[in-house]
Amino acid sequence: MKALIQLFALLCFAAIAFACFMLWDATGRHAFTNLPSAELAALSRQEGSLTSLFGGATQPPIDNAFAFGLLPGGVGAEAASALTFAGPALFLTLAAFFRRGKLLRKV
Amino acid sequence: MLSPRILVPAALLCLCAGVAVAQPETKPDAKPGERQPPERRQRPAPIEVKIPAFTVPADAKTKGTVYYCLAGMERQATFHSDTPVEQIDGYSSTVVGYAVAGPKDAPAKLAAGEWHMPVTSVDTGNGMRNGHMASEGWLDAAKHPEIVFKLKEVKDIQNAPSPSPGVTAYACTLVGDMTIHGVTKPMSIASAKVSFLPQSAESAKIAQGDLMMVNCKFSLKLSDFEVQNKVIGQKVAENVDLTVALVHSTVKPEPSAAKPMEGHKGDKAEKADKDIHGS
Repeated sequence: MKALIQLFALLCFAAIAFACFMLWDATGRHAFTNLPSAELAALSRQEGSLTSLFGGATQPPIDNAFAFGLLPGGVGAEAASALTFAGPALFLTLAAFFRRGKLLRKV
Repeated sequence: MLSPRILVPAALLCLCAGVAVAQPETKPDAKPGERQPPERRQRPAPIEVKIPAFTVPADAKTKGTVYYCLAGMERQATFHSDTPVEQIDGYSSTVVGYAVAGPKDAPAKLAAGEWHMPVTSVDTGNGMRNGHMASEGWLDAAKHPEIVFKLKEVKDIQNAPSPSPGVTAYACTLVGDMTIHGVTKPMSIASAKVSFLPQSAESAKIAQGDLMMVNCKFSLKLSDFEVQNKVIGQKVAENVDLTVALVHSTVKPEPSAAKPMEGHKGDKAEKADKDIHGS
């Protein structure tokens, strides 16, 4: 029973960690989570309205893409990150391996 | 070993937390279950921008043709901080100011110029980060609300290839005083470009009057302006790169002339316009 629970916990953690890694990798490997900003989207839509008269872009493009970071980028939705997802999963897995509870003693 | 009495509530708690985080914020008048488009979602901690009234000095008007900076219409300044840990970009579209064109045979030899950018107008796309940047430990917007560049001289003026029909462009070096965080330092910005575009039917659709654009790229060392924080060099670079493109017009912009931006920024731009032009 103990080994089964430990295996289940380990698989859950591995799945979450793998999903976090894939998402982090796919969204640009940023350190902090970033959500698209409505203000920057509005700013982006206006690009070129004036400067186009002078021959086009003079500024670097606005980076307003979603990035799933290793660490949370703020409170609310930006709290989602590899740490906040995989951290609790790791804690539970470690607890499954090292914590001795009443149930285990009974088993 | 963890018992089901612990594991099950823990799993439920994680599930509830996940649902709460993933739940999109909805408008007060939105129908139940109606999702907002991603770009319309409101972000936490919007910062109210206050641009102080800006008037062109009377003596500047006697030096030549005054070009008024068109704020609130398009991105004017971009900040870029690059460290191995994080890349941060900040954008502002509320730079106000003016420039006085030089004589007709050398219009790029600007006779005067001054630009003000409110610290709180810089949007990094993260409300919390915007708050940090304006706080006491960083640019201290409460004490030093603006970043100011006062032009003293334009030198090394050379003709540059025209990027667009009708545009006369000059490469030059801008020399002036930069004030950040209450500290003023002389600064020379090489590889700047000053471009002029006389009013045409096409340009009048976007902005009235003869137009002028000043654009440049340069780097600022934060410690030169006594901006010191323990994360400088780690999360935030010691040298911050700036890209500036300021479009000016000979016609003083009316509040309605500037296209208000959507969302919070629109309110800010509108408010800025009222403050700048006093109506």
